[in-house]
Amino acid sequence: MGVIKNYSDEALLVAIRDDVNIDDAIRYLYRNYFDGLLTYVQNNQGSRQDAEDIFQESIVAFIQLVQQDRFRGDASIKTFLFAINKNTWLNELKRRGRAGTREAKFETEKETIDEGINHFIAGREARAHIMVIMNKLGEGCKKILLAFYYENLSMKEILQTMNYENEQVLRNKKYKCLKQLEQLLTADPVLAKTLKVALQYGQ
Amino acid sequence: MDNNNTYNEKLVRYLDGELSEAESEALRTELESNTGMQDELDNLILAKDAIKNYGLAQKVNGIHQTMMQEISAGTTITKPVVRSLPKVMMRIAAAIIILVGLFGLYQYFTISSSGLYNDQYTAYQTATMRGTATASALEKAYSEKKYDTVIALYTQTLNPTANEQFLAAQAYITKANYDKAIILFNAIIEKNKADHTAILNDDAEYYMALSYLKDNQPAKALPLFKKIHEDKDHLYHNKISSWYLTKLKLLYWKNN
Repeated sequence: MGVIKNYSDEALLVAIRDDVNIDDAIRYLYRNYFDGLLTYVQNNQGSRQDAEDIFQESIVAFIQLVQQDRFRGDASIKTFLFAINKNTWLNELKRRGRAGTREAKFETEKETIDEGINHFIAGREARAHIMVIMNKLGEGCKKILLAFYYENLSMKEILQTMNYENEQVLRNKKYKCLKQLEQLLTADPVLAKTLKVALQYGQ
Repeated sequence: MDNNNTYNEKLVRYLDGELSEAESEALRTELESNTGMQDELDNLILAKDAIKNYGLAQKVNGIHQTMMQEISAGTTITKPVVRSLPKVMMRIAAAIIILVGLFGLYQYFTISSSGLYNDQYTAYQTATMRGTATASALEKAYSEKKYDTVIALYTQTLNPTANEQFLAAQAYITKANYDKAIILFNAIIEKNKADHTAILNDDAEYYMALSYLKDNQPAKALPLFKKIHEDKDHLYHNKISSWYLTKLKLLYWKNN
């Protein structure tokens, strides 16, 4: 095992916001907060698998909120992450209809965090749909689009890892892949609108 | 919605930040009056955000799998390597405290009067043995290690010298008669006080302290050893270290 890095809240936010060694930052979140949040879900009608799924989802939401500058460190990371995790789990319970008899309690139990963040959490189903749509793309398309838009690699760098004749051919392929994804996402106008809200809220 | 390929390509280049500032400005102006084009750009932004969302979810998922293995194996509980210097220092300090504590406990349970006595005691040698001149019968007997004779001669001597008194005390030590030895050492010290002399005074103090120790009276031995340790001019000063005093204190606490 390599060196395990420790972070102050401030340093962790900088690492996530600037996307510097973000893998270490994510591991730090798991090491320090997973156990506590696992207990919460398990004590509230959830299984370990539920807790793992919710935590994973909460980490993605947390990173996106930090990168959108929607969390500026007013509360501690622990408090904020716990609020996201708790509200995400209560949202999931509600979706499953298991919060029915305790609906009133459900609303009062929700962590009082920024309304926009609750709105962000509410868009989780739409975001989950992205997984389905992305998997409809071919592997080649996914690889090119992820390399360019997520990993921020240049076309030249991507060309070195893929089997295309030249940069222009790769560029054309990327364009087609992006258009294909756009069409998949907008095929259902209602879903497209929900997705826009879920992904771009607060930006 | 206008899906003209030309402006689609331009929109993608705008999205990718590949247009010049002038081209970007011209496009933004065009977008204000062309809602179809704006819708198309919004859709492309949606696609880009979806990719980023998917990429991040994939990354977290990959880390999630390894972290679940790590957490299940219980390795997070120990948090093996920490870069925080204060924490490292605290751990080192804690380890040292534990080691010192264990060492202290070991010392506490193994320390004894006899052990500390044996660390210090060496039989006193007379001047004769060291090769000097004339000796009395008692001194001669002592140099020949005839300790019973030394004691017998001493008891017959009406006015023993300090040296004879001291050698008799040493003879009593060899016979494990520490009470008598202590009485004689104390007599030498008291006489020196009365006469403002210091004949064999340091030797008497040192051996009296040892006698108390061997007689399992550390409470009486401790102040004498402390005095010797603190007096740099004392003949036996170098023999009584701080560590030896600490062990004596430990013995004292153990016995009280």
